Amino acid sequence: MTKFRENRKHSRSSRAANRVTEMLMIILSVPFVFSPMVYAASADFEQEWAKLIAAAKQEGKVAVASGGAPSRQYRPVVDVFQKKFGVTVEVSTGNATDTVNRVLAERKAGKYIMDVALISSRENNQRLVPSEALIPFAPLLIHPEVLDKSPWYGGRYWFSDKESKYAFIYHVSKEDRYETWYNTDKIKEAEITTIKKQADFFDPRWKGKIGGQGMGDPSGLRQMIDSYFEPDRGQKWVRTYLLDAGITFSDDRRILETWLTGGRFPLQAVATGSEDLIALAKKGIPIKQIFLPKQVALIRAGGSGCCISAFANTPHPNAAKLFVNWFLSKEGQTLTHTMIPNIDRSSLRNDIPLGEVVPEQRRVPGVEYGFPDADPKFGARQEEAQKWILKLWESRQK
Amino acid sequence: MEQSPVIDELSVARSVQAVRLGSGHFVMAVVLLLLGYFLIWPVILLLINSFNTAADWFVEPRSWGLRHWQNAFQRPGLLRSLGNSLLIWLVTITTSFPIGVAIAWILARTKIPFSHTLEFMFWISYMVPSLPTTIAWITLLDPDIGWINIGLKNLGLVEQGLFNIFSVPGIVFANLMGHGISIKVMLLTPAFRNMDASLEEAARVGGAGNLRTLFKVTLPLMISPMILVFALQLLRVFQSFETEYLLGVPFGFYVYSTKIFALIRDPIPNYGEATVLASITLLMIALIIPLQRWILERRRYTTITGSFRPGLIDLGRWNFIAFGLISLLLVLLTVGPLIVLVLGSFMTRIGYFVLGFTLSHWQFVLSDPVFIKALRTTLLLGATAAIVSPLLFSVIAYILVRTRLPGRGVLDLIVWSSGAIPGILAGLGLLWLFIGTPGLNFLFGTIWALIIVVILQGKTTGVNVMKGVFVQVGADMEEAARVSGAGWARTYFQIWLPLLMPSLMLLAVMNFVSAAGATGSIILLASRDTMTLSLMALELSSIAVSNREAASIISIFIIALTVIGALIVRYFGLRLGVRHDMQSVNAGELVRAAESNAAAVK
Repeated sequence: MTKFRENRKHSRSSRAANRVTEMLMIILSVPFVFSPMVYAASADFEQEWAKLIAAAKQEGKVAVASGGAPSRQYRPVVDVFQKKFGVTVEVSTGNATDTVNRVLAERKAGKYIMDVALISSRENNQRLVPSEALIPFAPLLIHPEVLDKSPWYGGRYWFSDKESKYAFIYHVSKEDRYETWYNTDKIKEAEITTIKKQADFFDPRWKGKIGGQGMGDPSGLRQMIDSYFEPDRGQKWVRTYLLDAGITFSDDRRILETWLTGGRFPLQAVATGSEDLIALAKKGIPIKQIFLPKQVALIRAGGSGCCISAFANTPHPNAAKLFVNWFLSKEGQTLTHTMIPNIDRSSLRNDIPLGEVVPEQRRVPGVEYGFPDADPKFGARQEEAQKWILKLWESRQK
Repeated sequence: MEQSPVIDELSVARSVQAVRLGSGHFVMAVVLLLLGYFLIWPVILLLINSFNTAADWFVEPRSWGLRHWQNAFQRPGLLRSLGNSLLIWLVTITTSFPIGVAIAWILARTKIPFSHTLEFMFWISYMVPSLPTTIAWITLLDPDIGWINIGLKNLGLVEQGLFNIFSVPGIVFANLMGHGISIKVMLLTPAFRNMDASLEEAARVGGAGNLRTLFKVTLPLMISPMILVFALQLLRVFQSFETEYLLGVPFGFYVYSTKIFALIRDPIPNYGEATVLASITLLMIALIIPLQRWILERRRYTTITGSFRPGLIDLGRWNFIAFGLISLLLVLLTVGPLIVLVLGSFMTRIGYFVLGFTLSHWQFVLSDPVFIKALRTTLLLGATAAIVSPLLFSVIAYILVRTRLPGRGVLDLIVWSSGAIPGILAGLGLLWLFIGTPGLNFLFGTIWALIIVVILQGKTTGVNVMKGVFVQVGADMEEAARVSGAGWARTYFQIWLPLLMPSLMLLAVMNFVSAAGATGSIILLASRDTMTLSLMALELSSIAVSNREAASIISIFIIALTVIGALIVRYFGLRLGVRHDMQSVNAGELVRAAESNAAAVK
């Protein structure tokens, strides 16, 4: 019995040893077995890539519809593309709404000028997708660095449209706490620390002291749409903030800034233009930020610098394909981090240096963030909230 | 109105018969077709589409109905905003009009020193865009942090800020400091210069003093240009927007145009309701057209004839007092905003002296590859508009005033109606026009589309200014030329152009400014290749980019270009035109001589 046991023990250990040996052999043999395949795949890609470059050069140009800050921010990035591939990139001017108006009017008249859109999730979801101006995005992707989903946040692609196939999200901003600014000459630290939660801004002591961004500014509207869905704020909070809290609004960010720094309205409950305020605080202007906790940490795809999509009936299909693949590759995404100073959002690629991304916007590895913009149902809910907020805003004008 | 006996003696201009029936009709047909197409068709397209009930015209399929018309007039606060617009307009016009008329009269009819330089300074104040001017006044007059208020508080003169720019008087003040006064001085001064001094001299010989002459002779003679300027201002009652928006929103004060702007800037632009609200300006035109037709039909105010004799009144020591007051006003209108602009461009951040000064914004703008392109495009557009528009508008005005060609009423209607729709909406109509017309869509995306738009965009003001001049000029000179055998073209270039030169110069400058500063009308037509400085400034000062320092630099370039252009225009204009001050006589001496003669006769 003992022998049996010993035999069993021996056989078990030898089987284990055998298994390890087998495993080792398999692992060691992988490169020999798959290398020709990998090599073949790589060679195929190189061939396809070279063909694509040649075809794109032939087309000579890729037209990008963009808006807001990215239409300027991406200029040095697309310059690299132009130099590298000899294909001109023409980025549109003006704000996103004007750009989309123009593109949609052109398309209705049968003129197809734009190839790619670097534009907000809102413009994509509410206008470009419903007008059937876009084509599914994933089939355009051929670059191995882009096809490999493992470096992307969550190991997958993220889309902002309800069908999850048109508006590819590549950059997000992180929102894991509420940011508030105050003027240190006008508000004492002891006073500001009495604000613990979002409803505390509505304490009568702050009435007439808060400045806020109006809804005529898309980012002001976005702040309120976000607030509408957040458990710490919600619909009731938005109503009070817009109608009853005695807040003075301006759509002009620089006016708001001087109100805060000059102390006319020494409190900004909802931070606006943080990058500029941080820079001013560093230079000794008497303003300071405080952070309040947020129940759910989020990443958001807002503004024109979040999403990339491709137009149907594009005049330069090869140049467009080359551009989107390069833009989402390690090189393209790295350049967005390194060539745009103090960028306040970051790539969903996890395998690139963070470069100029401001510290507050760097995602914490391992943390799972809520990502409402990637929820296919969120677009419709957002649209409803938007209508409700705008109606509320207009009711102030009675 | 009681008619001055002096005016009753005036020779009344008569209309010249149509050039030749055939060619005249042909010219009129071409003008009506071209202007109707480029000016009215975009408006009609917008109006037709206002019955398209789709929430997003660009996305949803067309369906027809009255939804936009019903919804637009049910907007909350619409009546209040209409009232607010009227209030701001009324207070602004009742303040700026007398000031503008008085300054124009002083500059044109008196011996105030440096009158041409002062007039030119008003042109410069018109060249400064209204946004930096308003920002400058916010910096100075914010109730808590405005420099003037802080200064007064520091001096112990007041405990709380004395001035508040975020108020109705603040908005009116900012409007006056913007273009409110300067535009009236610019439009009225040439008209006052065109006045024959012999009429005023006759009044004085008859024993009237300067003031009595002014009210009994000069102002009644100037009624036609003044009413035209007033009518042009009436057109803007529901369009004036930027200052009201910037200063009104913080204290919950909304004007009608803010409503239109908000609808267009909605996340899904509501062009339907915006068009409905904007179309109310068409009602204004229903008031304006009969008013100015009445002026043209009376045509009793001819002030330039073959025996035209310019002359200036010597106000004695009041010349210098007037000079001082006007100079002070010009400091507020021109020097102040310019200093803020230039200083701001060197400041690390506008409004923060503590952060020091830098050249980085200049380096940023000058190293931007788009800048040189934009500069070239702006120069091209500005120069074309400055040269072509005044000539074109003068021909249209000639047709309207000096001929009896059929279709003049329609032409007038086209000119006025096209000015009823704000630029930001008209831009969409123009986009449809260029991309939807088979023969024209090759122009879309090229500089030519922008050239056509900027040439025509100052038409309402331009044509009406020229109409005012044609009403003033007697028929005798033209008739003499025609009797001597000169054809229409020769008469136009040799007789009319020199007479019109001061107004043409003015329009050249105004059109340069309008072309160089165009945004709403061209934003949907311009591409990266045809970007202009104004679009670049708009992009830089947008909320997303928020680089107001760099935008200031672009404004400085636009102003510099315009000033250089204006100097060139003046240089040539003064040489080619009739010098209204060449034979300037001391009216006071004349009157005294006449009085002593009269005494001697007695």
